[in-house]
Amino acid sequence: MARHALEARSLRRTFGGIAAVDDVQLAVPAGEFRAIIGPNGAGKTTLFNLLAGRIRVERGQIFFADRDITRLPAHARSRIGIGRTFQINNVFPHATVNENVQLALLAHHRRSWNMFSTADALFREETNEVVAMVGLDGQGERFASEISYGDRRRLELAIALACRPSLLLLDEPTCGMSVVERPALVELIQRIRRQRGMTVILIEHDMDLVFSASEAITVMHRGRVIAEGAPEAIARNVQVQEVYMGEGHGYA
Amino acid sequence: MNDRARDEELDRRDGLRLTPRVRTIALSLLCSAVLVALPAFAGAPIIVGTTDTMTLALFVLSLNLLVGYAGMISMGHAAFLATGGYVAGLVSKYLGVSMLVAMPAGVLAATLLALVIGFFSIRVTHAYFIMLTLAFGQLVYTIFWKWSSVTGGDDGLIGFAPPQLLEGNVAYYYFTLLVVGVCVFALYRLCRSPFGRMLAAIRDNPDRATSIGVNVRAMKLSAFVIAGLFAAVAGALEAFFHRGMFVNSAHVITSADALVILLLGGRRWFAGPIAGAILYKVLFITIPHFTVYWLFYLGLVILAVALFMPEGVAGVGQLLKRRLADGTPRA
Amino acid sequence: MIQLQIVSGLVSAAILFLVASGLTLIFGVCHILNLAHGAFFMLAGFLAFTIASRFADSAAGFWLALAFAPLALAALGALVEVALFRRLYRADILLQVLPTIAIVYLIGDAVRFFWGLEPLRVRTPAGLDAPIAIFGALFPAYYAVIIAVAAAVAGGIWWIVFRTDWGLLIRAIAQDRDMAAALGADVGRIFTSVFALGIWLAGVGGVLSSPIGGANLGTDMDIVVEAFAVVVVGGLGSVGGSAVAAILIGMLKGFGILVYPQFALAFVFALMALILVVRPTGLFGAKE
Repeated sequence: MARHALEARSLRRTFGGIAAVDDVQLAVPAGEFRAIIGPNGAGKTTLFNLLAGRIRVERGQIFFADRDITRLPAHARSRIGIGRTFQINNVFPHATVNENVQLALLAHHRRSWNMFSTADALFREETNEVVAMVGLDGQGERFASEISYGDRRRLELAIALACRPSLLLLDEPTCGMSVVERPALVELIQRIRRQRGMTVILIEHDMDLVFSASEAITVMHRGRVIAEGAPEAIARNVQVQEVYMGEGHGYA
Repeated sequence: MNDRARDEELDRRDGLRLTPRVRTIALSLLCSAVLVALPAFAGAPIIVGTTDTMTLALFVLSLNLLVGYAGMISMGHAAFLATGGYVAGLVSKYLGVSMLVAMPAGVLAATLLALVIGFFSIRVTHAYFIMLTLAFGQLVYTIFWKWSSVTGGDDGLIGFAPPQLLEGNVAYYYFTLLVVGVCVFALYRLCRSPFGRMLAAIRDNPDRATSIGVNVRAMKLSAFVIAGLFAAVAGALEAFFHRGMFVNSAHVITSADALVILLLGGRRWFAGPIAGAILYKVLFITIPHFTVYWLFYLGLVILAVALFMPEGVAGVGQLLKRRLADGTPRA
Repeated sequence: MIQLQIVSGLVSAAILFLVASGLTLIFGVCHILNLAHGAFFMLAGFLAFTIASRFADSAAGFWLALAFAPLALAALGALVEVALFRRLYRADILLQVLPTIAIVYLIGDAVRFFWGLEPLRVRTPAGLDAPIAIFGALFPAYYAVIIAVAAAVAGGIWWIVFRTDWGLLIRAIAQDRDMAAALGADVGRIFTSVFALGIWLAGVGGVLSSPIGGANLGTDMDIVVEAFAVVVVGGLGSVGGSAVAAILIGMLKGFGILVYPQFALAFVFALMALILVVRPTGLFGAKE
């Protein structure tokens, strides 16, 4: 049994000379709900992109359940159980909600290359299950481009969940949602996590949610990890406060 | 999205979704019946013209796998049509084998070519892809043209023919109908399969496709190769029908005309290439009756369609459908 | 002997740069892949023939052609942009490409109609066909003219793009057209002017190359394929990239003819394929 679901060692990635991610160490135990926070430009999304395989690692290594996945291509990472949602809504706009989920299921069940069956009828039941799980039942036949923004965030989640990940990377899942909608989504994530025993790493800016829901927090600033620990410890961390409030130039 | 927009979206996607409707099956049966019965009441020119239209339709259907489903606009597709035809002809002429061996040889050669060209081309998208496929296409054209000792260059490749059984127009017509029919059916099944769905997903949002575990590059390459394969079949059919193969089959204008046919017929519709091919053939036969400058008028047609009816025949169909439906009250 | 290859390579490079820079400008700013670019190039050659022969193939006639033909084509280009492409900017790529194909057909048949099917010879302007010595080998002085004009044009473009207000707008719109529009830029007018400039460049290339290659049907596709190679290697949208790539490819053609005269283009394709594997967006292209 691997100690950690995910481990990153000395990760580094630059863009045009600037280190977006600089010597980042991360170790997330299996089943944990970990939040990654930090001001804009801290490198959080870049870190996610590295973990998911969307961009290449310059230096360092990534381990998924003790397996070195540093060089594994992005699509293969999804196959081995890493799911991901995007900060900017990333669904298949010209497909219905059901079809969006069905696509993920087709990929998950290794049917993408099937050239002979008729796609329509496949995985109906499982699709309905996933759609119901995120609370979109009833919207199944509506096009992804015409459902409300909040529902599209749920669809985003559904697509990731359909692939039965053991590790879920959520990039600002509540981004753009109204304050009242957010707790419901986080509740949903928590419920599914407990049901399936998933490890969840999420990037969030809503501090209320972060501090109430997560078990551990990693704080990033300018590409580096500046603090890590339980929510209470992070809340009291002076360095973290400074980073968020600014260096206190004349605002004493 | 309001009702009207929703209907539009459904209409647009209906073609692409290809849900098995009684209408589709009935229409296909009707068309098949007409085609089978054609030689009984049509004269030689129509039989010849229909044979050509069928191979043309197959060629453009293969292209639509790339353009309509995978979203890759290839301007070098004629390379595979030509290679299929030329290699089949060459093998038959110089190795003396029958058409039944030569055709698969041509298709194989073109498929391998598609693998090579595809390998380089699918790494890039959109404008780069168009440029690259155009360039490769012209490269193939230049080879066929300049290598005149083998291919006959400007004069074309002649000296091969279908087996005696299929020498007559009617016999070859049925042969073409059979082969094209099988290919169309195969393509239809392919488009409705999970593979076809994935291609559309890749077109819609390649990033998302990757993140659900789809090897986008491998899929695109497969689509490219499969498209090349079917194009080659069309090319081989054409070569043996005309008992000759000419360089203009490899020219970019042939590739461009295929795209024009997609525009005319509507590329979001499986049968769009078929409708477009028929329309194109009609134009091709009628325009030269009153002018030598057929390309000029084709150009005008393209502009008119692109500006005013970009969904082509399919678009006209949707418009009519909605006009007729407008009378019925909504539930 | 190698000077022959170098100079003829530079001449190729000069022409390629003119055509490719126009293509890359139009794409970089207007986001249109102008497949008809070669057709304008070809038309320029035919126009040069007519204008020059009106003036008895004198030097004056040729310079008049160089001055006038590209401008006429630029005006035509502007017309096409306003009447046609203006409406298709938000359309998907197929609907942008097909009209350019239509223009290829229209121009092609127009050329057939006005000038017939036979290739036409354009005389090197009198006085410039005299040989001059470059690095010890003899070349028509005209070659030097081509290279000089191309270099001057390159300098002119650089100056326009980086030193004028127009250039500033062009760069802004190339980066983010909606933002620029929101800030008050007249995007439509800039698009038209850039499109016209691009066509003008193709026209200059067409006129300059006509004494060497003559005016032929079929040039439209030949030159566009080579221009594509330059643009792919240099990077779409980068004029500087076109310059570098034009020199690379011009030289490759020049030396390729030594090795494989029938098919020097094969080397160009090999280079293009190599670049695509290593750097899919070209040497100086923006990362998608």
